[in-house]
Amino acid sequence: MISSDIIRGYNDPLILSLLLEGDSYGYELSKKIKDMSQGKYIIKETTLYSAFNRLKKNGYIISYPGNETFGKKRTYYKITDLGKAYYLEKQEEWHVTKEVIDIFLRGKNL
Amino acid sequence: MNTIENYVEAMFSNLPKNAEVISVKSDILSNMQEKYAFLLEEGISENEAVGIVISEFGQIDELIDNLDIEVEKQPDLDKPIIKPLSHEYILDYLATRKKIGLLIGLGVVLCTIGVSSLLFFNAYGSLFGGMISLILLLAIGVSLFIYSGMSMTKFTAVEKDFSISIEDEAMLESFKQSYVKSFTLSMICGVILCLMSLLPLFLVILVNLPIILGVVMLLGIASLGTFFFIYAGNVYGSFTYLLDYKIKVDITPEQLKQHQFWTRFSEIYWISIVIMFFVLGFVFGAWKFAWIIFPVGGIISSFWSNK
Repeated sequence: MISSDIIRGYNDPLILSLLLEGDSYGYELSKKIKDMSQGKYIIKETTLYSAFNRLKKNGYIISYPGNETFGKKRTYYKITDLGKAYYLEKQEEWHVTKEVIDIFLRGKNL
Repeated sequence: MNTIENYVEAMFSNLPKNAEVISVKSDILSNMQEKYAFLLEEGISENEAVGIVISEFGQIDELIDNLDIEVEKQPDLDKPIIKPLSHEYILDYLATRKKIGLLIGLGVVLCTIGVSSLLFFNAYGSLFGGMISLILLLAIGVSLFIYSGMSMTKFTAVEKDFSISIEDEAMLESFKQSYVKSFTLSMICGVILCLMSLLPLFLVILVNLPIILGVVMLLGIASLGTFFFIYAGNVYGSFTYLLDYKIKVDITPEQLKQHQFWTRFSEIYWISIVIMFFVLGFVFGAWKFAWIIFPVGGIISSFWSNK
């Protein structure tokens, strides 16, 4: 089971990493997260949209209306340069964090 | 599909209706509908797909915190007096009741077939064979009943006062709505089967076959009808039980005390009614009229049944 405390801190960069591959919208992103993590992380709708809101407020992404689903315009998201910089920051932070935790939680056999 | 819409409406009902919120609500709904359509394509049943989509909704509080909106918070909502049942507990309860609905229904069918087999074998010479099949089938049937009973014993929390979260309440309402059609169909099937079970009896008389065959078929068909009642009743009942008997999450301490008082009162009341019934019978010998105390007692009790 994935740690909700940890994943909470990385929802934003996670979404940014997917947007780096191209603009996308809500459902497509949540589906990618589920598929790429092989079902180990299923992001909730409220979590996803809270993240979009935060990312927008911080200027890391912008949104624009796009194709239609069920008669409604989808909202597409696009990563900004600021967002790319933030992504690199968090990537570095994760590598350091992972290194430190691995020191202690590498895998002792009890 | 309506179920999902209703769920989202319910979850957003307390939020202010500004442009931002409306846009988020609309996007989330589209997401859920797309997810639902995808699940259907994967071959998942409608009911299950609705359940999955709703369970992946999340907590409305997360949105409230992140969208910087003011919501009227009821004073007691931060610390509910009765700790609401956990989401997993509720899902477990629903799944278990569905399972025992199936098992008990099956048990009833097996016991009925057991009795039929006794009648059948007896009519065709082998009483001994009939007894064996009766005992075997009864044993399996009763084992199913016992197993079902034991599966439900862990749900002690719902035997007492309990409450459920707003999200779970909305989820249960939408499950209940999705199931109404299946439930109605099942009840109709059950009734039709029970009525049709009489047909074989008339047929065998017409065609001059031994009546015992008609009885055996009647039992068989009627037990199938009963299966529908038991299974659908349990599934639908699992939703309505949690919804009807929950204590409102935003209940005040005074209301809770009042509710607990009336619950105790009700218990004592009914014991008194039963005692009065027996007194009227044994002491006054008025058995012919004593029974009326029950329906009258029931009517009187409706005055406080909501408290």
